[in-house]
Amino acid sequence: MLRVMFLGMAIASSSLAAASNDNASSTAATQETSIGDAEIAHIAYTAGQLDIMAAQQALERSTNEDVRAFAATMLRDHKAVNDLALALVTKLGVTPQANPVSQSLTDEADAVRARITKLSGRAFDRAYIEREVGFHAAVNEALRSTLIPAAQNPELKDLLEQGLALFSAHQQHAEDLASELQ
Amino acid sequence: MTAGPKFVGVIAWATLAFASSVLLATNSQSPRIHEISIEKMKFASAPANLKVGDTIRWINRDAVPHTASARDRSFDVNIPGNSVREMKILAKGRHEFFCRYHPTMKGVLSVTP
Ligand SMILES: [Cu+2]
Repeated sequence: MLRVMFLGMAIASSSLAAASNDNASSTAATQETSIGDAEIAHIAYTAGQLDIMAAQQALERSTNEDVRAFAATMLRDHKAVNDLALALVTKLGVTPQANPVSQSLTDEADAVRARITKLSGRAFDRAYIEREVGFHAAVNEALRSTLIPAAQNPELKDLLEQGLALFSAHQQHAEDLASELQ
Repeated sequence: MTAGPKFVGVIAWATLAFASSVLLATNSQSPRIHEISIEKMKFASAPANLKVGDTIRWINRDAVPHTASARDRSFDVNIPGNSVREMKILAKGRHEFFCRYHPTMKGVLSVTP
């Protein structure tokens, strides 16, 4: 949980400057610190892929009907959004750009996956759902405070806003499940 | 020759009366189509005065699939992303519904006979 919170901070801080650039008149400052659409697209797409992998792990390991239904929804939804994202970057001629934020998301997800693969039964279900709560909270916070304000292309911005509505529902769903599993 | 216009006038009046009675009948009896859109993970609120035999046209403006599933199991419709699905209302009463994929999404249909 702490790690996920740290991750959220990493996203927020590494692109904090970008958000404030909207108000800055200096283009030099923008050049230095701005997070561009190519990076934003990479972060959003990576977050989706990582959640798909987490869902696949849950479908392999969990026998809880509600947890499996949740994982199936994560798989279905993040795939749908990422398919749209891919179509959009292709249309815009943007090549998603790897960056420290998407790398730290990936490292974090790898670590969690390795840790919880040793768990089973209720312990696994709880760990997976808790991870989903934290992950969606971090991604939503990044979308709200940083990625959406920084996005330049209106279609990308719109897709991110759709993503925020979707992932907020996912977060709520995960929180409800987490309290059921207590 | 003066009877001409008068005669036409009577026909026009009769036609109008007939048309308006058809219109009234349409309003009170013929099944209607009601649209309920789904956008940004929310069902728009359901229209009032739904009747058995009316049609609900579910319009999903989200990229992801949703369902409109009645808790009393009187209906269960899958609506793929960016798609439209229609269903006929078969049962009167107050039907609470939700999305099976996203249980935070909820709504109610109130149907009179
Ligand atoms: Cu839904």
